Amino acid sequence: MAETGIIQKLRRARNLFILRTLPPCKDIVKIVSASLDRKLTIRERAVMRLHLLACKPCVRYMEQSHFLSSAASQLDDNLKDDLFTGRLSDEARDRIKNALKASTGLFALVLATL
Amino acid sequence: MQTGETITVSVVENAIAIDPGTWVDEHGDQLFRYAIVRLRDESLAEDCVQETLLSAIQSLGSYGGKSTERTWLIGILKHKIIDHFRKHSREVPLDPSDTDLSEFDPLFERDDEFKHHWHDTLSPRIWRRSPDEALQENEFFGVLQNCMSKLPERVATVFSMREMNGFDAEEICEILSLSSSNFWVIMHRARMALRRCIEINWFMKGKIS
Repeated sequence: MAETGIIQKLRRARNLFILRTLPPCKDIVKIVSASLDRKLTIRERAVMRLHLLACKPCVRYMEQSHFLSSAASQLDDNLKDDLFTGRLSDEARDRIKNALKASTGLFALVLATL
Repeated sequence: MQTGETITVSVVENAIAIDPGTWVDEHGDQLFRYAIVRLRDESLAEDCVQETLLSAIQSLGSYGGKSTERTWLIGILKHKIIDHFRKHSREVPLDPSDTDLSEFDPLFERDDEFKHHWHDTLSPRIWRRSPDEALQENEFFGVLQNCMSKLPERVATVFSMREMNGFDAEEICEILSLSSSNFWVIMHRARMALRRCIEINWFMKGKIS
């Protein structure tokens, strides 16, 4: 399979070129992060795409950051376990109930006088 | 137990019965969780829940029964929390350390010619456990929440407004009086720290899927 050997060599040369001449991972991850929050400039997008061709860890950074983003958006619906967030304490519960009772009494009174 | 008077609110066609006395037992814990994840302070979260229910009583008339009672209450709570952040960010200026990315420098240190590329062993790993399955597990969200609780306060606030509430950069910068460049740095910091934290504490731990 001489042909695949040549393709592999070309690919390696391309990757080395990208990694040596374009901005390093440290800058690329900033662009990847930003891509989740805003539209990238044409230059940023080109630099990022090229780098991702040559760099597996940055591809993982991108995929995992996307995952993090969707996990965070589902966090509210999944905080069911009291272990992690605790719950309203009994004192707070009573305090709030009393405050509500006082306030609804007043509200009913206002309604009655209308 | 007697929970208090039932207030009947007349909407155009139908009348709905709402009993604020039951709110604390029915929605209290959910509201509290919503608040504590964002505010990270128990008594502050309790106060916000109380204020929310009190303003809900005042604005019963505007509750048309279009959304569920829970959704309506969460909506009010969300505004209370944003008001708190707005006020707080005016009183407490941004700490310079909040926009400092140097804690990640070791992740991009190498001895060879590829300066500022990922360190061989500190780079993002191939996760051992499936991301899709993680989203089905309650325990995973506990890990994520725990990771968020380790972020500096302002960083966590920006991240939760962006990713949990879905505000865009402009809105967040306005509410928190942030420059847009500080916003990008803070979001990057949060993503770098959280990605690594869930990797270490969930995806590279336990069973291999």
